[in-house]
Amino acid sequence: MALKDNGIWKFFRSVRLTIILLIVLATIALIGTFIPQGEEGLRVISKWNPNLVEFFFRIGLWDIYHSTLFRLLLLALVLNLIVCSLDRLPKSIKLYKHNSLFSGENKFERPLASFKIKELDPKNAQDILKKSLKIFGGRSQIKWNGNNILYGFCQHGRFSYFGVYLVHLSVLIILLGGLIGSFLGFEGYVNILEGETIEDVELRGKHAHVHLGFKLRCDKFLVDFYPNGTPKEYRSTVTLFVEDKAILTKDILVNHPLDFNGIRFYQASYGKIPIKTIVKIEKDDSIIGEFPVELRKPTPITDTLTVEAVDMKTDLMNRLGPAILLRVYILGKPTKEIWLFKNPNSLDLLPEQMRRSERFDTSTLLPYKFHILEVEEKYYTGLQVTKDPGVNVVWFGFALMIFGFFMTFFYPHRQILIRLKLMKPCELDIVARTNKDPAGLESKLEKVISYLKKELSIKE
Amino acid sequence: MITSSMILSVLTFIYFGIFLIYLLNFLLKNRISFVPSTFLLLTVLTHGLAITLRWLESYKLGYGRAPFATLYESLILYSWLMGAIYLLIEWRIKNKVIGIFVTPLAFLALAYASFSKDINKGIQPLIPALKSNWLIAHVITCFVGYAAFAISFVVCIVYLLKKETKDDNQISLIPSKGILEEINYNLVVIGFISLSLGIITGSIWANVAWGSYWSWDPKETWSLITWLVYATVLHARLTRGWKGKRLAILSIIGFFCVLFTYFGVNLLPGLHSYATM
Repeated sequence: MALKDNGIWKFFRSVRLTIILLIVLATIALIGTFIPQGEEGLRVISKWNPNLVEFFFRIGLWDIYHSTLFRLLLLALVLNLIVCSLDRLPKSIKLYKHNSLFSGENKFERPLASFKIKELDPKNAQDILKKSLKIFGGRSQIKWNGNNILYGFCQHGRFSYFGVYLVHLSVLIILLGGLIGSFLGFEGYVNILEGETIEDVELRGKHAHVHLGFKLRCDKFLVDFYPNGTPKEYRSTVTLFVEDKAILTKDILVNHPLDFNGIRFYQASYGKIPIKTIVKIEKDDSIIGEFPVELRKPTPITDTLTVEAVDMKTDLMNRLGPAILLRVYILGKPTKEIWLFKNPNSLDLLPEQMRRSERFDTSTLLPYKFHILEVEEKYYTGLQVTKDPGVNVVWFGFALMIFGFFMTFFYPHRQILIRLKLMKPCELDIVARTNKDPAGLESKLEKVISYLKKELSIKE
Repeated sequence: MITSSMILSVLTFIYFGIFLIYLLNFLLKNRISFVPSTFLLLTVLTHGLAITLRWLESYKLGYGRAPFATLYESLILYSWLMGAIYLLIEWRIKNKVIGIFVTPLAFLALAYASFSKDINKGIQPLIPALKSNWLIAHVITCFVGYAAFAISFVVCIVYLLKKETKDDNQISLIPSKGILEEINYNLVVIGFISLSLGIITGSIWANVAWGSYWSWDPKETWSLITWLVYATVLHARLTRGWKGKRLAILSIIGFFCVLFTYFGVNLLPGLHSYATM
């Protein structure tokens, strides 16, 4: 075999290489748990030392599980696995095919058990032999040698030689599933306000969008707490539209994603944002009225005056209370943007320097005066959106792995050979063999022997 | 009213007592061999009842959930599984020496659970992420693995400490090095399969809860590291020059990975953060 003499083949067929690869992979995985990973990680690292960022980025330490080195090592493991398996498979096939016990008299040089029997009817003997093999379990064969030596052979668990190949195959299948997912799948997220409808989601870490091909509306978001304050449930009620026709309405909860055409929506986060404010407007000290103003929607008040809330905060700078960034249009011409507070004392909380900034100077708006009466909030739900066509491949790999484990570790290949010499006196000899779990073989043999003893009325 | 955590606090001391009985039996050359095993069996049964009681208590509080959600509960389960799995092994190998080393581990886990100030013993309701049928399967498979690895660790320590001797002293009560190797291999196999099942059930759950079956979360990654180390143990057995002492040391490293997966990871940020509560 020219292939097997190849240097590369020899290199990859070694179990020593497997051991080294497994240890190196474990070590790299370990490093990745101590160095912050991903874009978030880079931000943490830049806080430690900005000079490290460039270095970590260049050698892939910032995203170690997707680095070239890690992938090459995985590739080496895959090759190692394939070559090792192909190299050893012929041996296993031989073991499977070869009835190692059922050949030759020499096996009886040291029998496990031997008995002498006074007399035995040949026909009866064959029946008893057959039944005893049935107790052992598996495929049995009966063979006459001449007309006075009878052999009974039985074995089970031969297939267990292939368990290890199934386990190795399962690892390849799981990796393949991961590969399919990374090429054909995506991972994104979207925030949807109550009542809002979306049809695009943002991809994680890629600054790109995916068009879903259908629309999703968040009808309602609900968060529920236990009496002690820990969260009990996050629930988004959503409606899905295909070509503007409502297809289904469903609740998305943690652990209960919505699946549509292979795209899954997970409850991931939530929040509240101010969306609407009510402003009381005065001109020259006479009240014009109270008007609802929505975020970023220029709202005409009179023929000459239009008001827009460019930004809204429920608690500006976490201490100044509700505030809106107001832009006023007079005869269509925008003025400067000014922060308005609901609480008039808020301004006093600012440092002297900031207070004098023109962003807080309401006198530029005169003769108009604005008072915020209310800032209304709305919930938004944060959904993780994923598509991974490789998932079922991975599941299949998992199932195969478990099946392979049981085959490899729990099914021994057991063989038994019984010889009956129908002479005077008759002789019964037993040999048996197993490739693992000798205690298991022993208890099996006990059953067979006690049956034979009873049927052949052997006394010790 | 006796609560499950009161019973478990008492059991902590009993485990220590059983350790002393195993030690005494060893010093008396196995003359009271049925005593430690009987006591351990009764203790493990009571321990199991205490876990069941905690389950019932959660129903009384109106939460109705499996007692496998907090650090306290996982330690209770862990010590129980160590005791139960050890008893099965003792019954198989008919040797009581390993018990001297396993019972202190069960004692330590239980003592940490019962008497550490950092551990909340209360029965809290489940947060949304944990409300899943996968909770029971995932936690039990993982901890069966952890327990098997803990006993494997103990066996390897005994293996490294043991000196072959022909004298008729206590040392001859310890199983031979060959048998210890065999026991360790069987434990690693059981642990490896359980850990694999734990990772698999975890993956399936993560795919439902977090939107991805694998996210390189520190606990996930460390369970993979542990898996890789024990995979190495299983393969090293097939290689010349890797048997014996080296294999025992590798198994011990594997158990340190288990400990880091269990406790150490809580120091790193990640998705499994509720395991610290």
